[in-house]
Amino acid sequence: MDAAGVMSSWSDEALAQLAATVRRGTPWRQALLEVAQPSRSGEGTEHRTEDARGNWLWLVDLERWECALDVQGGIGTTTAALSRHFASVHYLDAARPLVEFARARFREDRSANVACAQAGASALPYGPATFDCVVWDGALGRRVAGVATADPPAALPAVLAECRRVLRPGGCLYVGIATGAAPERVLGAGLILSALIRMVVGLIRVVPLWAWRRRATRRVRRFERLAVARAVPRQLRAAGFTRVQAYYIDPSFQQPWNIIPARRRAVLAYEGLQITSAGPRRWLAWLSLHPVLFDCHVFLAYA
Amino acid sequence: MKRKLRELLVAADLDGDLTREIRDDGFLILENYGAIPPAVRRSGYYVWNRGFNVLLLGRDDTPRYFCKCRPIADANLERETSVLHALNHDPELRSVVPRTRGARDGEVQLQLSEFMPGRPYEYTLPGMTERAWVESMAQILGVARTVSTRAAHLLPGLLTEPAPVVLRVAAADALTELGAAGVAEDVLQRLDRGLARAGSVPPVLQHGDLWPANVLWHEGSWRLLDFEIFGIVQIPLYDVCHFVRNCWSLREPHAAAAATWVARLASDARDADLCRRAILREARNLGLEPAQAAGVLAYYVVDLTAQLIRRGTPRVAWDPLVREVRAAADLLHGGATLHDAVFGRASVPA
Ligand SMILES: Nc1ncnc2c1ncn2[C@@H]1O[C@H](COP(=O)(O)OP(=O)(O)O)[C@@H](O)[C@H]1O
Repeated sequence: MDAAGVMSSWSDEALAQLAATVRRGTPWRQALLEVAQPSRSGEGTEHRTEDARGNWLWLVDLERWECALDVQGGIGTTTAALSRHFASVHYLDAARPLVEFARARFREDRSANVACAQAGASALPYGPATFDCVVWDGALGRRVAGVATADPPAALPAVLAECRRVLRPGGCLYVGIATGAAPERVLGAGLILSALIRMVVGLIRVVPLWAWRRRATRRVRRFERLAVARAVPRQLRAAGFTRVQAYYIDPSFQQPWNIIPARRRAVLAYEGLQITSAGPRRWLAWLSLHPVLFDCHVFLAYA
Repeated sequence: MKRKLRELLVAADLDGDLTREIRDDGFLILENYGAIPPAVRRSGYYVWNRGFNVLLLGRDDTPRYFCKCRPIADANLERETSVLHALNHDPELRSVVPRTRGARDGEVQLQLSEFMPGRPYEYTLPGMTERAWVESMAQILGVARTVSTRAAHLLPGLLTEPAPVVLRVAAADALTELGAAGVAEDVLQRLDRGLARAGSVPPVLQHGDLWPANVLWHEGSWRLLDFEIFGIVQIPLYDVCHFVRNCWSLREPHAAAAATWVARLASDARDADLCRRAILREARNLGLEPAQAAGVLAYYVVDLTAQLIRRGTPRVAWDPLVREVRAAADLLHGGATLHDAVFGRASVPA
């Protein structure tokens, strides 16, 4: 069960129902299964997903592993992973039903080192230099409370600045972006790239085959991922982070089976392992267009 | 990367230069299946999990090391590490298994191997001619036989007993397991009688999961992977049954989905005779009579099914194997011998 992918598509009623279900004393896993759409649930998937989602922490180089913050905790999947690596973890979410659910979840799991609170990611209720690690998972996949929703690109600098503020020197911020879930052109694909994409999409519309058109449009839209790969590190540096490492998660945040450094030769090595990998993928990687190949982009930024 | 992981990698270093070599941007997490440290459920036990694997790129960005990372509770990794370490020191097996070392602390254990390039047999097999298939299968099974023979010398502690294994006794627990899972009593009794008639076999260390995905072809030789359960099964010809069954399924997935392997093996289906002959040839290489070979075949389907059930895998995963068990019992209907039923039609091994 993925906080980003699933929560973003949940209605307010579904969230309220989730909170009400745990309030009645239903175990949290069962509550999720009852409220989630059946196609998305499934005990097996959920457990495996949850188990593997925190292993990116092995990529993080920290002096201390004491205190971590999950700024948009959702159903608590990432918080749970953090709680196994850090002495204490703070969970935040702007949505009250989710906070209620998370409290029930961690109470039930007897995770004594997790504290939950309700707050938006753009105004973190902590003093400067409080955390060793801050996580913003599913960034841009959900609205950020407190930031004008009419202006989604404003969410990124606002939240990054807050995350930087609460990080200790040497601390690490994790930003996970599922580009499929991000609102269209949230990062401003840049004038030339957007114009090119618009042009190609326009040409595709001329073709009368509807299914082909949809597939082709989706493929072309993937090029907007190039903007994510370029804009996020720039914004991280603007927010005061010194070192930024980029990774891809393949195939998805829900199934984070492979974590690959976002670098031409590392992607080529990865594609080389995929016996069935098609030629065009290798070509795109070879041309350094690898951001196009992956839906899930992760950035580790050090304060 | 986490400092603890870096320290363990250096501790398992195979070439003495990892400290310089490890780069964050040359570190790929692959097959990320389970959390380390593992999630602890409310009841307090660790959920069984396989951790993740890591590919370490060398200075030239080509794959250099393959590293398995597992929670400390996983007992199989240490076993595999010691088996690979011993086998790689044998001159005959140096090209078959990778150089390997392990390291662990209180939270995580890892196994560092040199990266073995090569094309998995799994991918080349479906497109092979019949003749190439037969030849490659014989070669691979020959390599597996050498590994088994050498391992018995290199790791004498692995063989639990030098005395012959009575197939019926060895299968007793597995049959009970199948009974508990709902397999009918008459099916179990028929298999029990069939196994009794096959007698005993000399113990021989088996790979345990010899299937085409665990076999690589590189620069003119076959390489084997995945020794996590090496030597746990000690019934000769077990690997052969497993390998032949999986090869045939990969080549003919539709036929494999439509009928059981056991029934097809005993039939006139395409390639059935080829598979029977492959099994009988290996049996002869191991000094087994066809009746013993048929007994092992029954043991194999019974044991494999029970293993999956024991591991707690969902029913959908082991139901097809239960059908194999029933198919083996069907062949024994009316007091027929398994040997006649399966191998009766086999043309004389080449
Ligand atoms: N030394 C190695 N070199 C290259 N690839 C390897 C190596 N060891 C394992 N692999 C790859 O990892 C996969 C899983 O390894 P395996 O030993 O089968 O472990 P598991 O028990 O997780 O299945 C293999 O199918 C192979 O592709």
